[in-house]
Amino acid sequence: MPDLLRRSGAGLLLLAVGISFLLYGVHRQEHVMVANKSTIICLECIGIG
Amino acid sequence: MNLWTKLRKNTRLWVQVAFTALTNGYLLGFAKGKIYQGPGKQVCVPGLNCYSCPGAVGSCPIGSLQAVIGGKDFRFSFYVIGFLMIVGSLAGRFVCGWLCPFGLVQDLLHKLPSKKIKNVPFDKYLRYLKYVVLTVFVFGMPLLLRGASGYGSPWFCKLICPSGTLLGGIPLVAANPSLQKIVGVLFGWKMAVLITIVVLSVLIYRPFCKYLCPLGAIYGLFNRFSLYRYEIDAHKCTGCGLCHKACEMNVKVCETPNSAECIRCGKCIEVCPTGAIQTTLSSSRSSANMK
Repeated sequence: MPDLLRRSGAGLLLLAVGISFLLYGVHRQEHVMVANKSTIICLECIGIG
Repeated sequence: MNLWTKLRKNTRLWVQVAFTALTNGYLLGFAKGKIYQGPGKQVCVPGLNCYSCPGAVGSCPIGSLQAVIGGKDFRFSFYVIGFLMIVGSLAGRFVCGWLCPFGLVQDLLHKLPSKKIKNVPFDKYLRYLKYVVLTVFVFGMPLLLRGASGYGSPWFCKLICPSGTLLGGIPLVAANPSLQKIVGVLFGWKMAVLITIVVLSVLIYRPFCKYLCPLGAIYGLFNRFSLYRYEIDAHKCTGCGLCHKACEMNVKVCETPNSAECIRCGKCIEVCPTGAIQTTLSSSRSSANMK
């Protein structure tokens, strides 16, 4: 574990920040916004509208 | 070469195929010209995988990012950025090399027999284009250009993304007569972009990943810090340059093993005659000689 911390400290820190961001995003219901967009055909995304 | 050796030699290809099949496994969508609408769509997939692909069971992180920041409620997506940070800090551009469906498409196209171009003119400068695409089309335009409704468009998806055209647009339009009636100039533009990238992919290894992909640009920033990295044993490396010669992304592996351009395909590890290139997951090694 100390070796992992020494060699990958920045990666572990970014991972911890990423997890915090993700959880905060879920708290803000962003995942629902993502699902609202992605469960209907996005005409702009496929080059129609 | 026996079957087992062949399978081992093509491990990466099989992983790419399996992951693409797994994340695009809603076969009913292809048959009916519809898309999956279940709870899986709340979760992002690591690669560039259009959520309007009939088979997609998850959401594209680039599309999701534009959807959230282009909405009325938020100007920053903690959910999607957090997801990208988690994936990036674990694996960096390993995702590009092993898990991205559009990476697989380009890999397969490059296997077609033709003259190959390894040294693209202005390659060094063109590599920065993907950061411009990320800044302008993924963040800038959806945030700043808003319609009367107050929503921003997913400009990267709308104007550039060839994955959306190939995996979403073509199968949906092919299977859906009502969509065929409303196809217009934009679809023609997106088809032109797709065809250009398809042709270039035959000649150049992964042109979209090298020059345009905003997702690769994000993951590339993590390559230096991710838990999965390459390391060079300075005592074993003879500087023969075989790794650079084998690298289709043109990375000088022995100098910059964690370059933002490296997609972790592993070819350099295969060709290194002294075993000097290792990964952070390789077990028995002394970290003292590593750079």
